[in-house]
Amino acid sequence: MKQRRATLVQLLILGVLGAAVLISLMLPSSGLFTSSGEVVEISVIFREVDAVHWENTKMGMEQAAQEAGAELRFLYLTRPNDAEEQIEIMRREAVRGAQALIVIPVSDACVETLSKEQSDLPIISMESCAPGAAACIAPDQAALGSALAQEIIEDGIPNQVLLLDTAKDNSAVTQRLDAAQAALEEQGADVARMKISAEEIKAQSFLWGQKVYDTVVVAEPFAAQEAAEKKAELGLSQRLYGVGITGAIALALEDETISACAVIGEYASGYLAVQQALRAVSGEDAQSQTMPFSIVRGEDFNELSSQKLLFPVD
Amino acid sequence: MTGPMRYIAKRIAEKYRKMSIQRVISLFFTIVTALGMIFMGATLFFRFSDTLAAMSADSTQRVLSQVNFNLDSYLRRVMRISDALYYRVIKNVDFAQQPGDEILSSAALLYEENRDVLVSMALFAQDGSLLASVPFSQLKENAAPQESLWFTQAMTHVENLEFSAPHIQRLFQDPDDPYRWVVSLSRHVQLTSDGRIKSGVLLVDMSFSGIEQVCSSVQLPNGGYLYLVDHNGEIIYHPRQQMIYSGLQTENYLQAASYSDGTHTELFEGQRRHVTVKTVGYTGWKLVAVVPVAGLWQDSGQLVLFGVSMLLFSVFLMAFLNFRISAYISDPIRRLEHEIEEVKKGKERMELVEGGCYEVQQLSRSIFSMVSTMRHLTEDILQQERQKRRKELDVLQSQINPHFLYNTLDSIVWMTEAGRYQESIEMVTSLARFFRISLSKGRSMIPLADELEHARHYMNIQKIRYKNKFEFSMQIHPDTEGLYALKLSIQPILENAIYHGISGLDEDGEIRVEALRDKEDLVIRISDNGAGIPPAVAQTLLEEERPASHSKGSGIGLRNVHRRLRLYFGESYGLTVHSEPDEGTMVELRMPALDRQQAQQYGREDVL
Repeated sequence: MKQRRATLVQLLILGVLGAAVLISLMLPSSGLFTSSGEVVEISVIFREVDAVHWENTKMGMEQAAQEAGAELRFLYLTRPNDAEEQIEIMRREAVRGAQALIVIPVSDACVETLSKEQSDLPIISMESCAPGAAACIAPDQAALGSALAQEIIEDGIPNQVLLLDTAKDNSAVTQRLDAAQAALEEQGADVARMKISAEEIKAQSFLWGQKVYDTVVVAEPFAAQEAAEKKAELGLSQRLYGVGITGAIALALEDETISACAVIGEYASGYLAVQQALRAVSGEDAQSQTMPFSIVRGEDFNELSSQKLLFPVD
Repeated sequence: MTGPMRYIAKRIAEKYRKMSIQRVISLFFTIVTALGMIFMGATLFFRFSDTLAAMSADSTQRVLSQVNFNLDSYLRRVMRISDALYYRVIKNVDFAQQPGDEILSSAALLYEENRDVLVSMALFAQDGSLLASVPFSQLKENAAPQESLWFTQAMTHVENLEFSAPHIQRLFQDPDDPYRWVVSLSRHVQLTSDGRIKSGVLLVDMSFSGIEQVCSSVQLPNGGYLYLVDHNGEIIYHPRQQMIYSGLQTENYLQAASYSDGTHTELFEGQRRHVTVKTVGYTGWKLVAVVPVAGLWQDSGQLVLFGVSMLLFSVFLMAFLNFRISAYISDPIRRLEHEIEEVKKGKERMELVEGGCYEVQQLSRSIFSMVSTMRHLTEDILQQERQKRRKELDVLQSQINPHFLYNTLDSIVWMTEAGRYQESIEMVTSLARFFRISLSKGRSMIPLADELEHARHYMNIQKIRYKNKFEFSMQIHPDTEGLYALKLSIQPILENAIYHGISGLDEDGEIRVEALRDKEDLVIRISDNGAGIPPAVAQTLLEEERPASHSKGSGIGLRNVHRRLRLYFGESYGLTVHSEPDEGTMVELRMPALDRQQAQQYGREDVL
């Protein structure tokens, strides 16, 4: 009996060892060591007709996608800041099979609507923190607006300030302008606010002719670029302040057409947006990131640190 | 040794003592092979690791050398462009005569030939004013070349060619890309103007993408990468450059800039890395190759798995050999042990254990031979014992009373002479019967009926001789029918009863024989109402050491019968004497109640 038990134990040990040998020899060809090869598809939906003002962001996104082996699909609106069109594009991408969406929302409602319709589809919101998003990658917009207002005040407390509200229902732009308005009014400035589209800025020459406004503030890159062009064209003397950076805005800063701009780390924003989208697709919790910003003037371009921030190395 | 350790050692020693041979062999074999394999495996692993690290370092060195060569070639090409423009064009013109077109055409030609690496070329006067430039013709309004680092460096180090870190070139109005990343090569130049020498700065901006192309084309093994820093630790190129600029990643570039050429090992953010550094010739830049140590094994995953497979296979093989060898040694011993146990339990014949190693086979044969010899010896001893017993019995039996024959024959003679023919006939008949039963063909066990008849005939003769001085009766219980008894066991007792009990009586005596069964024993009681035996005598009556009495009869009847009974049947059988002086004596014979077959087996002889 004892001997039989010992024999059984021996056979069991040999069996286990033999199975381990076979498994270890078969593992390399089993495919477990090779990557599954599945490519994650992420759709990036802007709120403008192109990515001229989002080049740095795109660079960061592409870097993150390349590292992770993900595929990005960049989509633009035919009409800038058209909420309905953006929602339609988001729906279409969800149906097509995108595994995640990165959205620069026209308004928070765009994200909220789709998140209710497609609760399993992770949406990463950029620029503004839209409800329903899995994560948002954006600066503290109110702080940004306040910082810009502070820069204006340091240049000299303005008498009349015109805030151009150019992004319809975009909460980021609204928050920036609200904060700037509050800060300026606190300092005794008279603040006016006008809803106008960025395309109309160049066409609306009458407002520029009104000398009563000594300071104009725009809160998004496209509008800043248009305003700078218009100001240069008309040779106006108002102080112009903006948000964002493009080549044209940089030139405007250099020649002081724009006095100062609030600039966000756009490359990092794009990189982190894709990174969090990938986390969400893999089932992990996507984490929101509050992006740092800085106020940049033309003379800062001499600084290498500013150059690194403003002009990403491709 | 402390208490708990001593206890543990004691427990281990106890377990070891109780271990089977197979387990001992398995255990030590396993320990020795396991230690050997661990030692070999560890040695191979470390050797392989060292070799892998050395190969990786060597490979990295080669790659780095190649990149260094390529980068050096690239930079020297730009330096040659700068030299060509300076020495072949600028040095040969008199700036007092406004040679702008001449310089521009030569510069343009040079630019066109090298536009794959160049962004722009420009010549500045000492005050920063633009003298000539290709392909851009105009500076930006707020451009201040004389404030740029490349300008001041060139003016400071007049003998050197100065390479800058990558930066945005903001001097020119470039409609295509006003903010282009470039690496500037600047040098102090001597401008001839109407015979006077003035200082100036020649700027050649090379495309950063050219340097990037040289460095990024490198594939280092095991997940490593390569980057370029200047002598101040400023990154010139890094595969994750923008990530570092954006604060999303860190790199130990400041430390790397301080390393000398060669391979170093560093620990950065918890990761061990081999860092190989090579200085790029003229510029003082450093090429830094980083290979994570963990990455050395990254591409060797399958190799590691193969090693594990081989290790498992070795363990499997060792276990198999272990079991087989220990079984080969211990199984025959176990079979031998089993055979010995069987023999101990009474197995007649031991089976010879085949198989196993030579020593075990020899042991098996020796034990087999020993057991066989023991069996023969035992049988011989038993045989001898039986013969001895038989001889003793024969001797004892032969001691019984020859005088009786003589006296009886005498009695027959005087009765015949006295005309008492009937009594003499009875006596002769009884005597014949008496001796016939005494002989019983030499057998020791005879039917109880014959033994009782023997006693009756004896008593018949004695009654005649003693003129009916006593009465004799027998009571035979029915449950004694068919039993056998030891021959000549009752008659000596009766003889004793007559000579020592009855013969001295004044009145008539009584002698009685009773045969009964007491469970598994046959009990024969011979009682008389004679003089009895004093207690002191009665106690020693059956002792061997007691000297033989010389009174009538043989005097050894009781002891004889007692000894014979015990010799034949065992110590628990024999005589018991109960006597009361002046009352009488009762002698009880006890022997096993045997039927014919049992009596035959007991005596190992045929019975009547």
